[in-house]
Amino acid sequence: MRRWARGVLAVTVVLALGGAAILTWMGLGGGDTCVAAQRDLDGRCVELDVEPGADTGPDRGRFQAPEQGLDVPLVEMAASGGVLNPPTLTEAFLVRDPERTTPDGTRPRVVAMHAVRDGRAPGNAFFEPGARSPAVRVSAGDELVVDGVPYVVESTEVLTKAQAASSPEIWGGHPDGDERLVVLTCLQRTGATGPATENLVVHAVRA
Amino acid sequence: MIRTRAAALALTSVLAVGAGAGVAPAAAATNAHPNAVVDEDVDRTLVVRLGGSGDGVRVGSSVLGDVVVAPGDSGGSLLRVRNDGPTAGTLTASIVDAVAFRDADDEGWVDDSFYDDLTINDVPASELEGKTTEIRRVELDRGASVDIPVTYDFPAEMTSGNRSVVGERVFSFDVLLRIEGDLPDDPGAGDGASALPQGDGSGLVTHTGGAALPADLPWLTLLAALLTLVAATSARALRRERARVRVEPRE
Repeated sequence: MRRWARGVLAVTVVLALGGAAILTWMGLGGGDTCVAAQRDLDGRCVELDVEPGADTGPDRGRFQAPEQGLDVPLVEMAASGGVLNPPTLTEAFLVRDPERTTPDGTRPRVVAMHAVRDGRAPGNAFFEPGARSPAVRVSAGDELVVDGVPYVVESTEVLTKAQAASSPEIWGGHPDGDERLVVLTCLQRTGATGPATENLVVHAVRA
Repeated sequence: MIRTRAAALALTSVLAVGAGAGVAPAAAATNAHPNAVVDEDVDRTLVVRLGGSGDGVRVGSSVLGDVVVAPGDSGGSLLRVRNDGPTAGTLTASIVDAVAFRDADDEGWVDDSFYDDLTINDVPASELEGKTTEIRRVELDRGASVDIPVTYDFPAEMTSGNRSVVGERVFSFDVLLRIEGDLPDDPGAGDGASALPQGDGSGLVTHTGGAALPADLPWLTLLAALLTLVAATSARALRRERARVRVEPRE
């Protein structure tokens, strides 16, 4: 064999070993640019439907759904620009609302949380995973605990995002609104593409 | 913002004298909080919740039940109360709405010292009438329980009511349990302007969705294995070539 052929073989060995080493390093997490806020409860990197805001407030204890096995930190957040978009995928967010009292009554407390398609965020606890038409897994009588204050689920509904945004049950004042809680998340359908189009809405009342 | 709210529980008890006169106890009991509801847990611990939806809860059974007392009788009951609210608070137990029955229209009525002789938690019944008498005050942590005794005593040496005809004597009272404390800030009522709708009927669009990115690990592993195989094959070929060069005879 000529000298140049031996040279090619030597270079091939070096390049292949180098490439294998780099790929192994990448496989072990090296060079991963996914930030913590983009990771779900299992550490998977998530591409959010809409880039979230970052205006969060103080910690508010824990949000718990015992029947669903959910127990995550509760953090206060503000809405902006007519949009509610929690900044992380591992926490529940209590929507800041210092003017809950309206001429019609008091607005319910609102807790929002992400749900991830093919992943696991807090909102995923409330519907069947891996289904094209997922069953809702929270029902009347289930307990929800917001910073130690217990609530009992009254009803659930799946609404389009437009319907949810204009729902007086969620955003309007009620005579007993001070005792009411609304939990909002996205309903994720396996096999769907693009942003989620529906919200899962849980209505609860103080126990 | 700090708010203060109280929860209360009303319990009713009736005592009647049943000495020689054989007076039947009264059946009716006074109700301090007719709108209250029962709130007991599985082991019959009375639960008083700070910041609950109402101002009180009611236990259908009485503290002592209907008791017929004779001189020398004493007894009591233990109320176990748990603070089931979100914060610690101060529990107060008070005797309220105490009523000593006196039937002035009864010709046989004898105005003796029965209600002075009968004591509830060492306080003469006559002194409990028309007042709120605190019998216990204790700091109670969240989830903590405390036992509160409610006792009655009608000493043996007392002769009041101990005649053949003295008229009916009935003493009834409620025990009111309250827990007061500072509730945490109204969740969600933070500082700053609200970004929520102001009664125009519209709300917020909720973007709470996302999709987990597919994991690269299988492809990376496969590619790394392939490159390792290429490296190994190339290295073997190179080694063979060098060996072949070494064994070629000189000319």
